[in-house]
Amino acid sequence: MKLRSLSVNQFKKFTSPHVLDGITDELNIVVGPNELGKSTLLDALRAVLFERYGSKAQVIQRLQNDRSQAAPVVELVFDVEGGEYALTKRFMKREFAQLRCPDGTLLESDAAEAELRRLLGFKEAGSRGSNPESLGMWGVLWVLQGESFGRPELADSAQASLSAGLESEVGEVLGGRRGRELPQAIERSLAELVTASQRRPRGQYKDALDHVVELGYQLTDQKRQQREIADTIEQLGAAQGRLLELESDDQDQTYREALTTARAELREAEQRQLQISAAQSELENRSRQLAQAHQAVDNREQRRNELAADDDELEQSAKVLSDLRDREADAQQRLEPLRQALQQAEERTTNAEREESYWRNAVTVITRASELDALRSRQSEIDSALERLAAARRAVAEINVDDELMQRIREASTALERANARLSGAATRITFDFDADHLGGVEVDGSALTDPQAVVNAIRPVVIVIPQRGQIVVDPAIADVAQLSGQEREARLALAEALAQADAESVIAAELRRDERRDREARVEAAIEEVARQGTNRDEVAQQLHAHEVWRSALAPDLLALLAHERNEAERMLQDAQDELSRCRDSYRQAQSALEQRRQSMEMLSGEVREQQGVVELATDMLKRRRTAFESEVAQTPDAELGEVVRAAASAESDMSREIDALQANLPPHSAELLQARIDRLEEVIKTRDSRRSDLGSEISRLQGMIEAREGAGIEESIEHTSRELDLARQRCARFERQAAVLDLLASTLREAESEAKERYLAPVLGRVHPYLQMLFPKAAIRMDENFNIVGISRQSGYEEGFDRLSIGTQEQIAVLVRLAFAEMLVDQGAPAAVILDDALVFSDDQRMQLMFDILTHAAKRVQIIIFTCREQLFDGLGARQLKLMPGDADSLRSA
Amino acid sequence: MPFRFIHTADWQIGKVFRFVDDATMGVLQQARLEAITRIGALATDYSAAHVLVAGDIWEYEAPALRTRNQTLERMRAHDDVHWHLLPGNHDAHQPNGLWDQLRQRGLPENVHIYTAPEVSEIEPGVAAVLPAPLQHRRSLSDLTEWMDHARTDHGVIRIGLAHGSVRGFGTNEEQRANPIEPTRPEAARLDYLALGDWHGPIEVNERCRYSGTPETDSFQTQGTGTALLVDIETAGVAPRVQSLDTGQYSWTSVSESVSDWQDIDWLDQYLRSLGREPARTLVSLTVDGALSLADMEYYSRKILEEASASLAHLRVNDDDLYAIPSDDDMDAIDAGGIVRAAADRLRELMEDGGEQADIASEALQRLFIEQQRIESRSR
Repeated sequence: MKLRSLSVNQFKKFTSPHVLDGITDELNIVVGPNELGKSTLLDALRAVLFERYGSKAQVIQRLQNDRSQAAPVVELVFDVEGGEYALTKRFMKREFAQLRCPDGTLLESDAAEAELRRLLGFKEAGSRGSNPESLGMWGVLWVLQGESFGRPELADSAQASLSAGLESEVGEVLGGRRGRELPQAIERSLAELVTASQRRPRGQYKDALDHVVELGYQLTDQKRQQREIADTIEQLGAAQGRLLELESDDQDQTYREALTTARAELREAEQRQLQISAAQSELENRSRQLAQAHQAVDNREQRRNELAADDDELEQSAKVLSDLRDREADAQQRLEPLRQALQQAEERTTNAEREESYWRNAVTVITRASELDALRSRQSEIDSALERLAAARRAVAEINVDDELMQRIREASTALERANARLSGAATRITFDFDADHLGGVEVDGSALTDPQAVVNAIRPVVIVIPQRGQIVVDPAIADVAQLSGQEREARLALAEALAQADAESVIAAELRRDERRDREARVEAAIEEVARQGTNRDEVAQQLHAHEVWRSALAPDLLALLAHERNEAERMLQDAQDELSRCRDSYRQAQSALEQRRQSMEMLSGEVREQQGVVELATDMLKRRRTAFESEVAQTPDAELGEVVRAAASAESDMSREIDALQANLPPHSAELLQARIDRLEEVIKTRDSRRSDLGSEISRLQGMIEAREGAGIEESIEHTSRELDLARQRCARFERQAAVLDLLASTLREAESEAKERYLAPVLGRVHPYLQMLFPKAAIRMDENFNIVGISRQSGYEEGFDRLSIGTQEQIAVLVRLAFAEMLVDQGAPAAVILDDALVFSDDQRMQLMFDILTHAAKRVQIIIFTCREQLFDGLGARQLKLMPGDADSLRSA
Repeated sequence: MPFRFIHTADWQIGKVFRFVDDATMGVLQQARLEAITRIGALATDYSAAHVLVAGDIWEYEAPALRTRNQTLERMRAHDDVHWHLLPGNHDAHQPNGLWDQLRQRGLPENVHIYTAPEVSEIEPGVAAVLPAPLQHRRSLSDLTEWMDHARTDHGVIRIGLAHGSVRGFGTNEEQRANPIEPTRPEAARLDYLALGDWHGPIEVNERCRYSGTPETDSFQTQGTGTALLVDIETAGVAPRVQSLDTGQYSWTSVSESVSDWQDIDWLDQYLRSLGREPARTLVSLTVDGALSLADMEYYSRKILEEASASLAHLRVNDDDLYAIPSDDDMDAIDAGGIVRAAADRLRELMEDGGEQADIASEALQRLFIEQQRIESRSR
């Protein structure tokens, strides 16, 4: 199909006829800025071809010019298979459609539209106008503004057109409905058995596998139970066997007889043992008696020896006592010279003390007499200072202007000044200006005027008398004259009172008096300081003085005589006397100490003598008594008698030993301990055998109980049932496994076949896209699904990128290439096709743009291409035929 | 009046049938229990006061309590008959095992068990049983040997009761366990030796027989199950033996080759004609041959679905039945398109005979069936 010319009138913005003609078979471009009407021309093209002339759909109404509301008219001239057709349609008012065919026939109205649909292969538009479904492939090939990028969306009708085209090239490869439904059915069946991704069993298959596992566990458990039952039965048999053994033999009787024998033997052995024990006890008794006899002999000898030793010791003690007495007498003689030395020292000390006392009194009397003199002079100084202070205080009292009174005077003076000032402020000023020579006689308030330029401030009526002329009364009009005058009067009275109190005539005089008072006050302060400098309280001084006077008056005549000494002399003499006294006292203490030492050692000797005497007396007494006792004992039991007792005891002991030897020689063969051990053992054996029988009886009952409890389970039968179920479950799993393998093979074979078929099927489209794609993206390939949707593009690396992930520019370029390929394929198969791109490729960079121009130029050799753009410069390098919109002929496009 | 009794064995109550579904197994197990009732009824009908069961009353040494009781209750119900039970190799007598427990729990008065090789006069002064109970599943010595020396009063009929393999019968190892000398009746002066173990009835000699199981339980055993009615006039006189039908289910093995739909139709008719009635017939079918995909689908429907449903059970081994897709099959799958391409590929895999050949064959069959489903839906 080739478009030749397009004319419009009363179509949207075109209110007068316009025509676009001179469209070439190859590459055409319509350039113009926005608002020129490029898109309107595309609307006109689509309307005349694909909209029904009689339609009143909204899209048709919008074709009218808003203002004129006239009927839009469009005429299109085009070629199909070399024959030229002219198609005219008027919409909305007196609408019509006309198709002039190459053979000259003119088809009108519906017939014209039907023929058009047949020629171009699109469907009748619906009541709302055309849509992608009715446009078929034309919707894909004619790309409106903003639709050029993104994946070409193919309506079913478009897909059908392409499929028809493809199948005419490669034959029916996909197998139609069967080709779609069969793989789906198989995949569904497979999906019921295994998961899609990992091919893991699911649904019934998984349940069956789980069941196998579960049955396996069950069977294992049952077999365990079976073993347990078998073990229990075995244990029962063993227990029964053991019990039979225990009950069948005559071992019990043998043990019991042995026990009886052992018990009899034990009784015999115990009796013998008792006899030996009694004999041994008697032997011990006799041995003890023999030892006691030996002991009595030994004791006597020992005591005899002790008495002899005591005699020797007493003799020694008496000798020691005699020595001590000699030493005591000697010490007594050496004590007397020491006593005499002490007496002499005592006398010398008494003399020295007397001398020292004399001189100490002298120093004391002299010292106190000098103190008395000092106190007297001190008292006179204090008295004169006090006198000066009293005089100063009297001088101050003579002037009564203190600071407080002065302050009052100043405040009264100020108050008076303020009252006067207020009065003068309010007064009527009377100013005189007389000739000095003519003042005579002029009186003011009765006083003669002396100052010719006098100024009188009148606050109350002033009478000015001018002789021979009369008088002038000036009565000042002061509202509160009485109040102001009162204030002035009060102030004046207050001042006068204060001044009178201060005994001053004026404020200045008062100030002077106050200064005088301050001076006198200063003198009082000085006198006070003077008194303070005297320090001690006068009373205290007086008291001390009194005490000294009393002492002096009472002083004895001998002490008074001491005053004849010089103080220095008295002090020197006192020092000498004290030194002498100290020396005498030291000598006395030494003599005393020597005497004391000698006396102590003498007393120690006397103590020792007394002690030793006591010892000797006591020892003598004790020895005497012990000797008496020993002699009476010997008299009672002589030594010979003691020897006889020893011999008798030794004989009795020896008899008893022989008797024991005879008893031991006659003991039975086994000891009582051994026999007792045998009895214990036999009793235990008999008891154990009884207990084992009883235990076995319980064990047998328990095992029988267990078997009885389990016999109902019929474990073998259960195992057989479970084994059967397990077999069946395994068979079921095997069937599922087989089924899954079959379906998997079938599904994969179908997928492979489908994939191969699609490859073959899409080859014509991809084959046409491929050369163009190589120009843009060397070694790249696009992948398309069977619905002609672009799925992805793989580039040099072999890695496939999803179409949606490509940049908008790249998406648009590839989408344009695919559209060109579709158009080429349709043209090659004799179907009408032309490509229109409105405002496309605006996202392409310069390099890609140049390549796209080459591709468009190449494609245009087989397919007519018209490009609408507002970017003249961008498409400068395209080298297409530029179409101009020209005014058209009004007669041929008559509106209504 | 001759001494009359029924000889039976191998009831194997509680036996599990591994290859059938649960419902069929229930029915088969029930049939074994009902055999007891039928034997009891036959004893009454034929005025036989004793039934001798020669071992394997139960399938297990430890049957479930219910299984055990169901058996005893069936016997108790026929209180005019005395039931004499002998432990066999399946339910051997072990100390403290099944038989001791039966005795401890108490048995119906008309049920007698023999766990020791001791003479027991079952009809005082008339007939005595000489039992040879098995103490283990497998015994290597002949347990009937003691009978040679067993004493009975003069004129008392001596009936041996044993379970095992008579020497000279059977060849495999299993059958060599529990041996029994075929000359035992003469050696032990037995009037009759009632044997159990073989599930089909066998006459070893005129005084020694296997009664067979009363309800057949395997495809190796032909027939529907029997018991023997034995009359012994007096001691020393040869017994008269009559076979009694006791079974309900026939077990049959069939082996066929098929190559087209006519063969399948024939096989269908044949299967339906087996046994007294198809619903009580179990068939083990072995099929080989080669079928087109369409015929294979026909085989699946006619035999595996329809004929199978008419029988009590159909066990099929068609491992050697191959699907050979015909050109018509392939065209039916699709004349072209991807489905046909896939079918061609599967056929190649199948014909290559590699590892996946079998799977490919089934896959092709599945494809054929799925295609037919889609076709039938679109019609």
